[in-house]
Amino acid sequence: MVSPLQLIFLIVSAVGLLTALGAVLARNLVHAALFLVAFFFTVACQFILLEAEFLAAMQVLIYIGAVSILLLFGIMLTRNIQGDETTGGHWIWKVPSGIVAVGVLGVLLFGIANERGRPGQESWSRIGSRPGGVNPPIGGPRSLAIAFSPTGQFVASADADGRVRLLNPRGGQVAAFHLDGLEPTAVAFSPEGSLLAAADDQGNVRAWNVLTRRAVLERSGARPGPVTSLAIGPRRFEQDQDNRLVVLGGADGILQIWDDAPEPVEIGAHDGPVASMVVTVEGLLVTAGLDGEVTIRDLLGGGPVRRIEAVEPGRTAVAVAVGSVPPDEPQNFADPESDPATRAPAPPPAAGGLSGPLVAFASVSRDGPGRWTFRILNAFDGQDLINVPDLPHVPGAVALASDGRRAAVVVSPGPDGEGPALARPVVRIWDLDPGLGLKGDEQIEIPPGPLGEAPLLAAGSRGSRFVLGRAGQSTAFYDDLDRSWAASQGPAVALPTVVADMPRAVGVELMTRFVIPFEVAGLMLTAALVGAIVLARHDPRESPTTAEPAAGRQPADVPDPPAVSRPER
Amino acid sequence: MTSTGDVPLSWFLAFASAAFAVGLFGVLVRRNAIALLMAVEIMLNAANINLVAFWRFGDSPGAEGGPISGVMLAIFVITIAAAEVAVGIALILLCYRRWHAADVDRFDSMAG
Repeated sequence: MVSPLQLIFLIVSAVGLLTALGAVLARNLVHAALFLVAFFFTVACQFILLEAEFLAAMQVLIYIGAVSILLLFGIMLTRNIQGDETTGGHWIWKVPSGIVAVGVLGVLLFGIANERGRPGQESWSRIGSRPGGVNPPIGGPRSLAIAFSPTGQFVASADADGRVRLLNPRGGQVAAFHLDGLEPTAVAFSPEGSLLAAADDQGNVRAWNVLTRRAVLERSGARPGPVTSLAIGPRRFEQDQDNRLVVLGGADGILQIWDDAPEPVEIGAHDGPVASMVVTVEGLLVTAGLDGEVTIRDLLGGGPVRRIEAVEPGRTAVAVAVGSVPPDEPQNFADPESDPATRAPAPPPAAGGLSGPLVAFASVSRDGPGRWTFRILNAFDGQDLINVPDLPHVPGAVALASDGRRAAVVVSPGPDGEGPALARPVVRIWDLDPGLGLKGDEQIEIPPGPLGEAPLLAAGSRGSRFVLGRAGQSTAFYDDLDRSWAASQGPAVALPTVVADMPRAVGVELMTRFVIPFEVAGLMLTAALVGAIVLARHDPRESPTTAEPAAGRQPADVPDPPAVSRPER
Repeated sequence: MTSTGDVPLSWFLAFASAAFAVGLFGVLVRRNAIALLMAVEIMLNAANINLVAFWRFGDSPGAEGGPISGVMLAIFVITIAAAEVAVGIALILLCYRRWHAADVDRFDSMAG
């Protein structure tokens, strides 16, 4: 399984190494210089593959245009009657040099393959994809899953470039973790917020400590279908805080529970994709599926599984969210050096039936297009918190704030929506605080741009912080103070926008969109050079090689550099 | 799609290592001064690929780190290499006029 980009890389690399060997081994110096030009071309091709178009242009201009010409002049002016290699000995004398070169190559490759990373940093030897992806769109890579940490301090985003990014609620990047070139599909925080876990399509799960940014947990297995949701359990042992339960939910409705056993336990839970799930601090696993059911099972204590029918028969659940529960006590995992002002304040004790994990369903019926029902219920007792039928427009994504005090829904104008017309999609917010009443009339207009098929929404605990992910666009962060959306400020965004200015202005039309034509042109030029060398070797005016002078002859009797170079061999 | 299909960083590094080893072999094997210069150029190019690969694959180039630092370093290397070749060719020509050879083994007037 080699992608087209990897195939191009392999071809360019093979040609590059062969031409480099030709430049080193060719006995005729002019041939060696032409091989060197071909090697420079392949290096320019590598720069194109690395998206450094400006540097590729510099490479062609300076190396091929200037340096190689200078070298050719040098060859022309220093050719003497003894030939190019005057003191060339037997080939056996090249063996020690070959051993040294192969040894250096072995040391370098060993180091590349076994690099482990400095303390607090991840190893770079496992980086399988570049941040932002190949030829990144302005605005950063597409986000595939978003999660707000229960403390409200962090946002985790699983991005299409194979990175899991830890961001602060304003959109600044805190850390980036990579998944060996695989695309993450689900991301989750542990109930107390100290671990961040991500799963990819092949059922591998990796978890990192949010503060030390080290990988602490890794489970790899093969799942038949894509992982649609992920949950990581609370601390179980005082001594081993990173030993957690990991639960994966698949598109086929099967839960995969990883305990200490080498193989996960598989449980069929839903009749459709497991849309969202949460493990509470007490060890209760609450899952919600697109089949409209909620299941609650006690992972630590065992006991019967409770099921709640959350969506009436005949209706289809469109968007589901399970709210994480705030920790009962202030976070004790926060590092003592961090500024207490930046730490999330301990959420006040929830009042009046808000203590359980909340499950929110947005469902539509086939009978009434453009109308939907919003229902939030408490997973502990099945009591409705909100049950609003017949809402206008089309729901897209549901989010519950990490402190359980707000719910938000992305609503887009339907095909023939009644009621107040919507100009463009909005985020509708419901305040779940009983003192304020369940309003639902607060609306935030989302920034212009297509919403895509499956928008992502996450809500934070402090203020009205929302994170919105849309297909083909960067993740947007809503700030309650400015009342405005801002793009994330990770390097994946800063990189293309800043780099775009100078080199891309020249290169975007010519090179970035035409990587393959450029590579083909470079390889064809290389082939032409190599072909010219091969043809030149069969010169019909070839002189007999018997006049080869003895190696090591003293040149003292040669008065001047010869005006005309001797034909080679 | 499970894999991003991108070229891993280690592939670029492996290619750069191999090119560097080839250049090193050339420096050790060749005796013609200009061939030596060419082998050195191969090694410099290999180092450049390393710089650009780490720049493009690095996770925190950030605004504070300078998003274009890898390319700037590579441009410096290219500039220095061009200057080095110019001076090197001039030196080789001088040596050639003095000793009538471009062979580094002949440039032994400082040997003990």
